[in-house]
Amino acid sequence: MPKSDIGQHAPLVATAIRPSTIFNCNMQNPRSIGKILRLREFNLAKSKQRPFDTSKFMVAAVHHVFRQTRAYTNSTFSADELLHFNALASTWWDTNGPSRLLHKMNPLRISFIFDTIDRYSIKSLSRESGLKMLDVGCGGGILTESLARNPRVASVTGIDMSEEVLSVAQQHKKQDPALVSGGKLQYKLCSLLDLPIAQEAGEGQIEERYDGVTLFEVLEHVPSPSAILQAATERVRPGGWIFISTVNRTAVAYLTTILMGEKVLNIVPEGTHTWSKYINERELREWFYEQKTNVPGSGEHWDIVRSEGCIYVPFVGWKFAGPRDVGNYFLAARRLQ
Amino acid sequence: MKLCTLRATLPVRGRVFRTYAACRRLSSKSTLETVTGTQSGIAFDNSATISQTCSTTMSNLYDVVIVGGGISGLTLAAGLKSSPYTSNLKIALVESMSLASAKNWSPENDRYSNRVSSITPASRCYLSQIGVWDYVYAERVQPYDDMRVWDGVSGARIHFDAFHLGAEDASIAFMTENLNLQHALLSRLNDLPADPPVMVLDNTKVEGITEGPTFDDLDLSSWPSLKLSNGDIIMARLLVGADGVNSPVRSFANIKSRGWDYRQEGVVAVLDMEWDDRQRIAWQRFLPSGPIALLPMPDGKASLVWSTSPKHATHLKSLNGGAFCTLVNAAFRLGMVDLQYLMTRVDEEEITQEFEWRDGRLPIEAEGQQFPIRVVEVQEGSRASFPLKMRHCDTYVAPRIALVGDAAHTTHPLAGQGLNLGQGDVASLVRVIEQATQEGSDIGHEIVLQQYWAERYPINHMMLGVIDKLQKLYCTDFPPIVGIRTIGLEVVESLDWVKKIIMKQAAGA
Ligand SMILES: Cc1cc2nc3c(=O)[nH]c(=O)nc-3n(C[C@H](O)[C@H](O)[C@H](O)COP(=O)(O)OP(=O)(O)OC[C@H]3O[C@@H](n4cnc5c(N)ncnc54)[C@H](O)[C@@H]3O)c2cc1C
Repeated sequence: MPKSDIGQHAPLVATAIRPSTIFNCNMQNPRSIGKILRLREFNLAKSKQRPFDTSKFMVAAVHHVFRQTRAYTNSTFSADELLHFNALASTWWDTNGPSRLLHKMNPLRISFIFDTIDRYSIKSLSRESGLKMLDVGCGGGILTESLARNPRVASVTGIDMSEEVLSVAQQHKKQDPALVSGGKLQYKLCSLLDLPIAQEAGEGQIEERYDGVTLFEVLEHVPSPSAILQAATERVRPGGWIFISTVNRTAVAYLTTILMGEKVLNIVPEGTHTWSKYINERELREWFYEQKTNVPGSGEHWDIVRSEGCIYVPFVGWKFAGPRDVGNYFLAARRLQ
Repeated sequence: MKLCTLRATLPVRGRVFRTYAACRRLSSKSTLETVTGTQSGIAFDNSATISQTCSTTMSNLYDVVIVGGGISGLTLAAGLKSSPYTSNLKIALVESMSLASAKNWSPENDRYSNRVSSITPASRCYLSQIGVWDYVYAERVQPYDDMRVWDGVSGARIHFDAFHLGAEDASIAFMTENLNLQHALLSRLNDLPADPPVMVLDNTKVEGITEGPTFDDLDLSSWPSLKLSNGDIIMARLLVGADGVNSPVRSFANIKSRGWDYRQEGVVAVLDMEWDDRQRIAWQRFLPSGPIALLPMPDGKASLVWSTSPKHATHLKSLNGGAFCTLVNAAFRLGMVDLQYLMTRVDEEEITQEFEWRDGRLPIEAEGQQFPIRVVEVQEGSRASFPLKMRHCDTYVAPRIALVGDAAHTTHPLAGQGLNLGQGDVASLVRVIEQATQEGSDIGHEIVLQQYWAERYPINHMMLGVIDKLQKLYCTDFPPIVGIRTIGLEVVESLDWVKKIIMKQAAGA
């Protein structure tokens, strides 16, 4: 593994072997992170706050955020979130509109996916082209369309819970004859949990699963991230990938994504983010680690091959830079069997 | 003009009506046409999923339509077709004039075209990279490594040579005829084993641009649809305006171009020098009426660009050859009062006598050092003049539209940068398109195109600004300004490191 990919903390390989090392280095509480994730969901359900930062300011902020997200059903997407994204539907493809930052993130997402595949594919296990992709929370189809146009992708399915947003995606697809005639791109209005899983073993059936599942800016919008993650892992073929981007639950992330992004600079529509739903990089790491330990002997396990912090540089765009445990970050996990 | 009115008559919110009409036009056509050829590239993977009308339209779709077969447009086509990432794009190039003379051009002994440009090392490097420079007739290229510029009013001078370029064998720039480049570009396009080849439509004018049609299963309303003078309608995923200073593509995109006219014309001519001066020096003298430049060409020839008032330009073009050459010599050698006097004379003999008398006072050893050796003849029919302008667009991009070269910016020729800035634009746009195709982004998407604008605008803006300031600074004989600019020039002349920086910028680095 090239050294530059390892980031500034403990090497990823070591992480997989000795998780305790990272816990001890900067966890206040060496509890299982998977537990924390579930606990958070429980707390959210009771609409109690568990501020990460103890400053009075943050407590107030969290109060505010929680008031906004109190009501949600036990689905994969809360009603508030649904309303919020429905409202954004009409401007999804307006590159100077509220989704501008999302458009600008697209090249970073694409390069993250394909650079990761180029660098970490296991020749005997992973496919490098002819890829079958699943874009979860595809929205208006910014990433989904790019994947479908990519010569290395054989097919891509975009799923989303918002009918309005998905119809924008469907309409926008018609603007590109290559997508209309290529037959590589399809959209489905459904939750990841409702997307059929192919039979595990069985020759031929494996093809039903995906080479890559993308969860970009999704986990921080769902009430039950571990259920989504679980569902995603079940739909990836051995040698395949889960690509995630989300935000760490830190004071810095609050300041940059919510206070500055939504309230001061207004470059992100207000209500897009809910601080309490942010997920720390370490929590995700631990969640994937638990997959192996939870089902001993199944042979299935996940390697986190890459995890990188990213920042938005005005006039330049999104760049991989900065620590991965503070603000926005990308993470790629590879399924091994 | 026509395009502007066309656009203006369409209701801004009348999309439904317009596209319906366009649709009907297309579908009535479609009954006559058959689906032509095989289509590749990103847009044209035709399959059975699309209705008949639609698939006929598909054969008129291009990934890139370039309007303008000038040097910028042709370089873009060659650049895209030379890159492994973009060579499969389906490209059309539309040019209103005939390209036959450029295509069949070969150097004619002892005769040069009067449209000559200096090519910076950066532009030459790019043209080599895309395989075009190999097709350039090398014997018609004149590099120079020495540049002498001075103030006609105060006599203050600045001198650049290979030392300031940081290498003994470096060149400041390469002089060549625009036709030599155009010929090389067309030859390269012809020889490129690209599939599909670039569809070059010359003698074809773009008569109108509207939005594309909408069908049940295909919505081309964001695609610019071009009506051509041959009756065809073609549509573009990305429409590039390389269509010069009066760009119709720019009018369609409603992009504002700001600037002013210099109230000067550039008089160009091909000249014979008294002998073949092997020093290879580019000369430029700033006169209050505008700069006069003499640039070395092969075979002991030189190319003249004399920027002056339209009245003087007409006068210079109307004189007989001998008198014209004498005035060029005078403009490099005599004082302002003497020159102004000579400009009022028309009789060749009188001009010659007056000049010889005054020139006799100049030291002979200054010739070829302080000012160029004499011009003895002007090539017949080579005198012409072009109005000089400064223009810069606020943006170079809109959804599915990009502008390159003179369509985006026009500058005074005093620094020989116009064509070179266009080459920089093309190199940048090709890079952005390459990256977008690798990513799978839509190459017409504004977010993609904005990267091109963000890269080029500041560079062009700085260059246009500096050239404009220089032009203004030297277009006066008002003593305090002359004093300041003289001190400035003398300071720069004494600082080699400043001169090195200036040379680096001028080389396009
Ligand atoms: C006197 C003078 C000296 C110069 N010297 C130098 C120099 O030394 N170095 C330098 O770098 N630059 C120089 N320049 C500038 C340089 O010539 C231009 O910048 C350059 O030629 C611009 O190229 P272009 O391809 O962008 O545009 P153009 O050459 O203007 O090409 C535009 C093309 O678009 C076509 N077109 C327009 N409308 C339509 C339509 N509706 N349908 C189809 N086709 C259309 C036109 O026919 C034309 O062929 C000089 C300019 C002048 C005037």
